[in-house]
Amino acid sequence: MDGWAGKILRVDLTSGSCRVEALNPDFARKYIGGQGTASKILMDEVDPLVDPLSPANKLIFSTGPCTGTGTVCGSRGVWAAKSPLTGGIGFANTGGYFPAELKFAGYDMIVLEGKAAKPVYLWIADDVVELRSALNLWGKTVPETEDLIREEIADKWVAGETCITCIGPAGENLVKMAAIMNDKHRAAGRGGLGAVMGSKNLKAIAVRGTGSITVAKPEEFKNAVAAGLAEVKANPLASESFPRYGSGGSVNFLNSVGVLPHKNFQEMCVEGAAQISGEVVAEKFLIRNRGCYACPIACGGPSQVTQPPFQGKSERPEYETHFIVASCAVYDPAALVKFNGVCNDLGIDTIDAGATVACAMELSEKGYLPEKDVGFKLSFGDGEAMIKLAEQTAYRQGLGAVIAEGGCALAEKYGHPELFIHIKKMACTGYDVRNVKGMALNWATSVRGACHNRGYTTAAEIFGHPQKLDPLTIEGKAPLVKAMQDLTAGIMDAAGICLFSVLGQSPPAMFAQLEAATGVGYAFEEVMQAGERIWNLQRLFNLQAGLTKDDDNIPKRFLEEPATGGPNKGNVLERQEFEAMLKGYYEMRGWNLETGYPTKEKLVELALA
Amino acid sequence: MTAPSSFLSGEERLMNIEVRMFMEFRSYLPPSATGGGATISLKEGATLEALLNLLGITLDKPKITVINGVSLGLSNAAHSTVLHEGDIVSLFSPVGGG
Repeated sequence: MDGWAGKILRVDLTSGSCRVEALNPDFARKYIGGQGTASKILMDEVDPLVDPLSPANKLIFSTGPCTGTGTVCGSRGVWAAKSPLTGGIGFANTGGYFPAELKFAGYDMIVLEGKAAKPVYLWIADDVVELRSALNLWGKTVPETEDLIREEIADKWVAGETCITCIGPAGENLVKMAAIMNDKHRAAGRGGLGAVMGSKNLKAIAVRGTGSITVAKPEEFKNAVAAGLAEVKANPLASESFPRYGSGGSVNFLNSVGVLPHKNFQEMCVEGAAQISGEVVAEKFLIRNRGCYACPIACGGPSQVTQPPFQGKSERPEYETHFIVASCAVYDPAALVKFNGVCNDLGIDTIDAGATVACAMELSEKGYLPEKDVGFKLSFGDGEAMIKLAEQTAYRQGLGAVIAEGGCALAEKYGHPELFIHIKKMACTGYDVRNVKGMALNWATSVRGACHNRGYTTAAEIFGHPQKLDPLTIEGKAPLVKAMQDLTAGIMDAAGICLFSVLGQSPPAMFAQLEAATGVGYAFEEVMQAGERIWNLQRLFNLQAGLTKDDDNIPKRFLEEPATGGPNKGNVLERQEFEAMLKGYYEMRGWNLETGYPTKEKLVELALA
Repeated sequence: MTAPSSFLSGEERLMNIEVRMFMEFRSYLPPSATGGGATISLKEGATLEALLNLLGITLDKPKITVINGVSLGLSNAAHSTVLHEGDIVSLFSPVGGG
């Protein structure tokens, strides 16, 4: 096969056996890769009602046919399993070098099942696959784990070339927002898939690949890559702002238009945001830029705080982590960088961990969370408390033991479930949807919970990319959300291309690289339909897991509490507006308006029935 | 009904616009500006284009424009927007993503 490596590695952790299976070309074409192929295997092989932390859940890592080919930003892979956080299908996308290295070793996917009797890690060196003891790694942080595995490799050249993915203490302790980390600082953050890895007693995967991926039409592929690269270079957003400021460059802008949430979505347009902007982090703490495999943008980079109390190293934070710190009302850039570093080192999602801390701060300030349960007086603006609670969560200590069960568990325990701002039990991200109505619909309908990544309508509604739409109207939002979701699922996530690259290269440019790499004769519409197929398959998994139409909802805070500032002060998302968008969306999706199920006709159209 | 005094006298009335500059646009602020912002006087009825010209910002320089907290996006169509007394105009280098 071209584009795809052509093999699936299956590992039964219970028996310790590994086997290689050929990737079926028809299956690959239909589901492409990434979350597509992973969803299909989950649907076929995992009972949606399974306990997510039991051996019967499967944990899948899945790359796309563009991953590792040299496609512009073709660095990505997707972790998938039933999520312990949401109880629905869980996905988390990551870049760095690990996904491409797996392809070079000859595998498109790894399917992990069962549970090892003792902690192990998976060693892959091309055709050599073995489970090794991880007893000495258990309890170690993410950077410690990587360093120890490298030290075990006698050949220092091989050690340097090996890519490692692992969990930290949070994953071992089955924390429901535990991340799976790779290359030390890249996080497959959302949905608690690190806990699934921990439940299997799998600490890490180390991979060294010496092969390469062939592309079907080398000359066309070379030209398509050059065209994609030219688009990125010509776009000041991708070629200048993003490398300079990272995604945190959005902080001041989104704050000025009333979109950056503060204090657990209670406030907006707070002046303090300027203190935690991407500009400040770049100026004070960024050491240099660092990109993922085949990335001309390089939005990340090692960062360092040298002054107490928040000294330490971290990758440059993403916008969503800036948001989390604003949601805790901590306007200290050093605390932001430290929080990011602590979460990465312990292997915990900055978003759900921080959002749950913000919820705890509100519960405490309103008198619902007693001081004795926290151990100190907890209030908004306390950066040290924000970091301490993240650490306690990873180790399930103190209040961290409650936070570790997820924001819904915390808010319910203290009698105010409405104060955890979530969808499908996953924390809402950095967008006040009273002012971005398409994003409200996208969140509500996202299969993995309140996910901004898989239908980022904010790009058009607020940033004006590729064209400006009115964020306050509901007209046209249902087709926009559907198109963005299908596009992201099909041509980016499934193909293995970084979502951020859409800031520079256009979907047709990505498609041209996908088609030249695979040579299967894709039409653009076919890839969009594959995205729709993937979305519906994931929807079916959720419905069979017990989620219902009622889970396509929006937190009451946005519906009932008027905006406290910004250009639309006093504004709420009207219930009837939301319902109208949702109805339009169901109609566009071909889903039953009463049950939320895809209709028989839709499933036949998508070759899912 | 009385015509506006500026019409009768032929004098030009001025309005004050608050500009807030971010990222690369900071360098276009007057030397007296502090904290990334400044108050600029323009003729009444002037457009965003006139403000950009006064600040020395070439019209094709990519940017996101925000007026009074409302994003006008990346488009140069915003240039024809008529400004009013007390408007707050913010300019950002193109940003995106989350």
